[in-house]
Amino acid sequence: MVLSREIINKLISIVGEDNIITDDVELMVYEADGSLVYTAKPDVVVFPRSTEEVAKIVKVAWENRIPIVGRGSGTSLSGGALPIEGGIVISLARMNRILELDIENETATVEAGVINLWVSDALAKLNYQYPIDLGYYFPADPGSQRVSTIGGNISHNAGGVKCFKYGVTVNNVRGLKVVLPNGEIRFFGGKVIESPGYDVIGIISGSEGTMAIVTEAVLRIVSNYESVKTILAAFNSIEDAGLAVSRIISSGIRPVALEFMDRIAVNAIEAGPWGGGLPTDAEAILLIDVEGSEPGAVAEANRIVDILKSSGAYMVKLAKDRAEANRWWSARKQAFGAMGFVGPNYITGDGTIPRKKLPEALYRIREIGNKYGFRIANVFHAGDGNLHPLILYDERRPGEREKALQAEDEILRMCVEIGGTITGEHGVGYHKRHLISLLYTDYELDVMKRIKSVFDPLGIMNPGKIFPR
Amino acid sequence: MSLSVIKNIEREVGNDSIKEPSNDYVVDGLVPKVVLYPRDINELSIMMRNINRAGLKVIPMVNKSKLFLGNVPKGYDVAIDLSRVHRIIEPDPEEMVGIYGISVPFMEVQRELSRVDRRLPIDPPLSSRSSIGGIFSCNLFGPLAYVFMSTRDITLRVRAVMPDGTVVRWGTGMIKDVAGYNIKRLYIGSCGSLGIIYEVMTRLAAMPEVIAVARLDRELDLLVTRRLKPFGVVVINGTMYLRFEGVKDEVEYRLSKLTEVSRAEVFYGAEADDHWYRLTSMDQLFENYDLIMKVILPQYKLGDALSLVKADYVVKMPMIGEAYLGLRGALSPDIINAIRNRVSELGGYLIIVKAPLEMKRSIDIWGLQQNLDIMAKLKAVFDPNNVMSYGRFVGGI
Ligand SMILES: Cc1cc2nc3c(=O)[nH]c(=O)nc-3n(C[C@H](O)[C@H](O)[C@H](O)COP(=O)(O)OP(=O)(O)OC[C@H]3O[C@@H](n4cnc5c(N)ncnc54)[C@H](O)[C@@H]3O)c2cc1C
Repeated sequence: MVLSREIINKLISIVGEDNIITDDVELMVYEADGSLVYTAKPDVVVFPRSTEEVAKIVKVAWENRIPIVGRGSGTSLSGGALPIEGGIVISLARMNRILELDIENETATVEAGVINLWVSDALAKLNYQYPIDLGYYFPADPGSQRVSTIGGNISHNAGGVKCFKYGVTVNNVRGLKVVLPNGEIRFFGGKVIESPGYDVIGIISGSEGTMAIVTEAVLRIVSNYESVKTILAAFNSIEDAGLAVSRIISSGIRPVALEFMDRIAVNAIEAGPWGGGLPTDAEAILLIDVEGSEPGAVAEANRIVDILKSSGAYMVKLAKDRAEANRWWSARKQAFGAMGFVGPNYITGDGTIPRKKLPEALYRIREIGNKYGFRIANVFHAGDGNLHPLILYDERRPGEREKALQAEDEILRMCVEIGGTITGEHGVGYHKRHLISLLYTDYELDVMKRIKSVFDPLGIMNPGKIFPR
Repeated sequence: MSLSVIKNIEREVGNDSIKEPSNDYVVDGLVPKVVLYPRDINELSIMMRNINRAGLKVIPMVNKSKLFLGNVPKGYDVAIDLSRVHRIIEPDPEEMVGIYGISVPFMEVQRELSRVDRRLPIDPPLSSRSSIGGIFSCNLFGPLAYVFMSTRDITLRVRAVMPDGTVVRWGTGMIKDVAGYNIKRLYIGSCGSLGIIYEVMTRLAAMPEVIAVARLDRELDLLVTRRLKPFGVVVINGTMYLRFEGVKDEVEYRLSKLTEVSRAEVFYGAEADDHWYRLTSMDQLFENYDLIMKVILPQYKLGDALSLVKADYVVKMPMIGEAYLGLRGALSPDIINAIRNRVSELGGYLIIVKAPLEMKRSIDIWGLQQNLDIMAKLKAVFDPNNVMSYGRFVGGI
């Protein structure tokens, strides 16, 4: 779609010359997202600085039926941020103020373009200046937290390593300010744990920008514990590692984080600059955090160490200090990026499976890898069953990208077959929309579409996502 | 009401699935014309299909322990008594999830789960006499939500019968699942206005090594309380109870910190847990007071809101910013509105949970002012004929 000069001028009058991109070359930056598989070019990118400006832009789009795609940092791994039908990309990058840190009411109010980690960083600084108990942080912590925005996290309902204990993004949102496609500004919730009426925050969260543009959020923040202990364990067998996870959870301990990586993933990380001293000879490793008072965390950690040993771990290590623990964790958090060291390209898969099916799932993933001739590394949020198979391929070879996508498709179908789902945290986006009907009937999908219409009757919000054509 | 609808239903369901209404089914003084008593989901679906076609007004119920909650219905032709539908309890202790039918009593679920060393980590009001259906359809929870989150947050999947009789499933039951819209969250807390939930699947928690409940002779300040890291806190008419959980060393450490700030009597294990559920069930409040209000606030503002009302019975949950207030007798709509405005200025909400009928007739019990247009449109997606609990939810939808 090509936008008229008149519309561009209207947009300029709203955001100013410095906050708009129309140049073809500059627009190329916005034709991809973190998935790096498909591209789609917007007609224009605007950078509003306030909710009111967003509302005015959206109104122009509404009156002229122009597609609108919200964009945070563009790290979506499902093609969510791609303007499939062109139109206006609204970047929230310049709405990046932390508006309020309210320790008394345990909330942080931020604009949608704020980077996830900034919230915890700001809280840490506050704590440094005015010691407030043990300090607070924002617990929804996707691996991309250094770069992804709160608006993007809400739209994809992002998960993170701590979500086994603290929930995913939607569980940590108390209030939401949004702009509806007709330009109306609405606020839902508050600094409160619940509010009367239907859970509109819950339905907008994870709706992948198909209902409204999120401009501000009231987030739940949680306080630190006195002590965190980190444990690393190495196994010769995937089954044993899976069993250890079940036993830990059954013991009544609530780990904050419980992460699994297989041999290929560990080797990829250790081959690059982010190596953290993880054992490269293990078939599987587990990385576990527990928190509590010093005596409480020590007791829990010791209990976990015992369970790991009795479940067949050949190496179990308790981090001797936070520096060592942080090395392990930053290695884990760089797992996706590290794939660049072992293959020119990779697809980040994202499915959830019942935890006890992990050995079966990994076996079948290996088979799929063999069938297509790809190496596939696996990173697994073991506490909640969220599996990330990382398919390594080389797009310079003709047809390989298509084959890699086919392999991903097969893996996700397998996840559904064993009782799981096609996405645990990255969203359906553009890539997986053909798979949603594996999970929902036409009737159920129709209900979803009608819910979208409540917010977006003209269908201009992030068209081409979630639902099959 | 057209008799032909009942005749149609009669033809397709068992002969004990249709009953004469008794007093138990009265809602806000209104008596239904008929009670439908489905044996299973299939019958429930048949009933809803016929009811929807005829545009009859239905109120679903299980234990009938919370029929007082909701605005006065705008119509009430049929009571659907779900008390024998889908009585299943299926824990999966390894996956840390459980599946429960709507008609199972909450306490029975807890008993079953405890056999496999698990529990539903919620402590809602009226837990002693509620069914799973009542708790989940109203998103009821208690002080434990500070740590384990709300009933809605722990729900992974909802199976429901739509007002038109179609059987649907929202969510896959995985702990992490972002495929499609999060409709299960709309159902939890919709108070029977979107369709009939007949099964929920939730996250579970393991039984901790130690549970301790400390009773204090005074109420601690919120910030002091938070520093103690309790799992839940409830203050009943000034007596404060703190619940701690975890491995022995953890609980001992917390209790030692508690003794630095207050004297306390401590209960342990099953005794502590029983005590906790008796406290948070609030049976005395619900039995003895005609007017019960619930206030929801930013935690630190809860005290300010409570000073607005002279209540006879106060159950305060400071960590989650909620309180239930019992009053003898009614309040005028003007007074309610005045309190509500103040609560709203403090950033909160006031819901009338239970009230004398005369009073209910003159107010909106939910007090929600904003976004009612969106609420109404969402309802219409599911229930275009206004069949379900008509008029009882926010803004009279
Ligand atoms: C290395 C790496 C690691 C990752 N790790 C994780 C992880 O651990 N967990 C996880 O869940 N995800 C992870 N992701 C995926 C991604 O970071 C998340 O989905 C993140 O939430 C996207 O945020 P963003 O700001 O980049 O949003 P974008 O990619 O810009 O947008 C995401 C979606 O939200 C919409 N959107 C963005 N902002 C708004 C808004 N303000 N209003 C309305 N719609 C909007 C977009 O249209 C799009 O559909 C990872 C990605 C990478 C590259």
